[in-house]
Amino acid sequence: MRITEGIISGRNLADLQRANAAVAKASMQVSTGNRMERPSDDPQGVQKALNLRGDLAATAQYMDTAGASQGWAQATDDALSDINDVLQRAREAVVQGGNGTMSQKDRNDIATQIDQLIGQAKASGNATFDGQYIFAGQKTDTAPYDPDGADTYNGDTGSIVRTIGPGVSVQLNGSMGSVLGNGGDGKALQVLRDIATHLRGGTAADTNALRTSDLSAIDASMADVSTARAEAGALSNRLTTATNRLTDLQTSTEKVRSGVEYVDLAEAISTLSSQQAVYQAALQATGSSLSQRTLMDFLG
Amino acid sequence: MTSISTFSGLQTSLRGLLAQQRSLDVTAHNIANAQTEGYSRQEAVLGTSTPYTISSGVLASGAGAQLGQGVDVLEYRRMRDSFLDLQYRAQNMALGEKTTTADGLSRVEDQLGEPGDDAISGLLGKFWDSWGALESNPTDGAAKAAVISSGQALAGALKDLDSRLGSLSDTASAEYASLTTDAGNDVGGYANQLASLNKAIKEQMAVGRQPNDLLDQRDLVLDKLSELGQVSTSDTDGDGSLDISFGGAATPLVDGSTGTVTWPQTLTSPGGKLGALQALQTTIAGYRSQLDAVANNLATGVNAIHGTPPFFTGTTASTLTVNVSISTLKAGTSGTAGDNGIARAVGALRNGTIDAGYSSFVRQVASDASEANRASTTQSSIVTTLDERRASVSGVSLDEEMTNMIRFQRGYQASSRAMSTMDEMLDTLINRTGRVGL
Repeated sequence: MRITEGIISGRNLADLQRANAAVAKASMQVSTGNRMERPSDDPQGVQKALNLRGDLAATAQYMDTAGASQGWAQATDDALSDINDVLQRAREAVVQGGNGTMSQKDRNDIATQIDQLIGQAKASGNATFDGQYIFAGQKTDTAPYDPDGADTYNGDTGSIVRTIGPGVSVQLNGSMGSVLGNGGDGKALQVLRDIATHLRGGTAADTNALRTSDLSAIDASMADVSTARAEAGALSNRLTTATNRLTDLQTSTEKVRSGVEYVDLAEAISTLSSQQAVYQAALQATGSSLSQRTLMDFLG
Repeated sequence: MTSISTFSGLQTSLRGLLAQQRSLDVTAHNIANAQTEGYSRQEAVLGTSTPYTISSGVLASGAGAQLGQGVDVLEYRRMRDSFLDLQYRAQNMALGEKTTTADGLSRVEDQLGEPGDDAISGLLGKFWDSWGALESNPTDGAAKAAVISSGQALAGALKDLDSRLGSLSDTASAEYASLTTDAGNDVGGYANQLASLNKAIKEQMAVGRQPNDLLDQRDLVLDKLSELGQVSTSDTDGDGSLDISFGGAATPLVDGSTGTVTWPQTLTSPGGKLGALQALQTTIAGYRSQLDAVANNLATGVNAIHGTPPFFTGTTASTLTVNVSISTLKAGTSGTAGDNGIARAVGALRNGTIDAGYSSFVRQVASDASEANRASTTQSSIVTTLDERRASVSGVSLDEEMTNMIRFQRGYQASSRAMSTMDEMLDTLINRTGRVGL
């Protein structure tokens, strides 16, 4: 092949541009840390990156929801613990009031105390989390109990469900909502009302009821509460496990995403320096070929 | 013995002088045009002059002879391989097509801004996030407002991307129009140049002259035209003027024999840059319908869950609009405060077919652009190689011209030496012979 000056300079220029483009790309990768400057650099990587970003955002969302749900479970447990205390104190009062030596006045005082405890239990039943009544079923904007009025339950039986993973959901309220009851259904509120009535009644039958049926009823109510607390605890455990799993998932997804989107810096820097070396060499080659002597230098 | 003119040798030397001088002239022309675009090196082709025939009595045997009369310039030859020209134009057309496609598609992918938090994928994620937040607190006005505003941001981004793709398509269409419709510009301009070069070449060739520089100019214009579209040429009349067909147009762009330019015309298979601009519009329309499908999936999916009123109205990227307000946005079907069924169901759409549809759309754009870039790089090196092969035939090598210069200079010197030797000989004959005793 006949070689002309034009061919050589054209090749040199093309080589320089190629080398320079490689340096620019390598230095972009080092300075931004991104493997892809534009989607076409790695179409498959871009799709993967989008999917991974979607997964990460979803995981973060599920973690938020799990965190809020944990708060709900905690609030449930706190309220149940308060109710348990109320029942505990009521039980002590029952034992005290069942004692035959106690005067009617003292029994009346205890009955007043029980009335207050009923109010406290209802107040605990009206516990809220994030502005929502936790024991009201789905009627989260309605206080389930009227602390000063009738024992009627104003909530519903709807379930409160939260999504804590793709296709994974948990129910935040269970039997926890029904420990206090609806009044007249044998649950805690009615038990407490019965106790107050028996304390005020003053007959031998009343005293006897305090010692027997009321005591066992309040024990049953306390058992209800501890079942409910166990449920709340199990929910809390489940949420903790889910959060841990989501955190692990987040870490591993982030790692994969880094691999897809970011460069390995050590590798990128070594690529950059080798591309720079190539560019230097191309510059030298061009320089020396441009300043090369021609036949004219040797002709008189 | 038949005599030969005494001055015949002088004439022979003169021919030598002139021929070497012409060759030097051509060398100078080559050197002067070493950097001229489209220039083909030339050479003066030398050949022996018509010999002087003497029928008899030249040789001792009495036979005749043919006596050499020196050198003449037979032609000024243009060093050009027309087969390489054909190859070059075919590949240059492909290069025009591929660089235009690569350029257009990389502008398309620039519009996506992916992967990025503020791009559609990020906004889609934020839209799902807002439903997730609503799920945790279904009556919260702020959560509802967030759902609506993230829905609006998403719809806005889809609409924006669609309109930017639309304007890229419009740009391609406008560029095609400006290259083709205006009779004076580009294709039309090249056609006019070709017609006038055709005419000039025909005139020169008719009287037996080889119009090398005009041929170079015509080839250069054809090279440039080939970047825009499919060019084919034929010299049907055999008079040096070319019929030039372009891009599958019904009538030749330039008619060689009449010199008529027919432009603008409808191109059925333009190829080259023009073909790429047409194809680009189709490609972008395809992208827009993919984007519409994403918008439609989003609207259909969310609306099916949200019920009345529909969350979105519109079924295309450009018409998608959020249709609910804080008071009409529903987190649950029953309307009970704690019912978050709708929010949960919408949240479950997350990373489903809608996101997958969008990410495969991005991948489609990215791999098309990547493929076009690769093709354009490959094509560019093919054209470079062909250009080098053409340069290897037609390009001016200064070393070669220098060598030729020395060659012709020496030839000229030798011819003059022959002439002065002849002169001295004649001097002896004319001035000194027969002067005995003077």
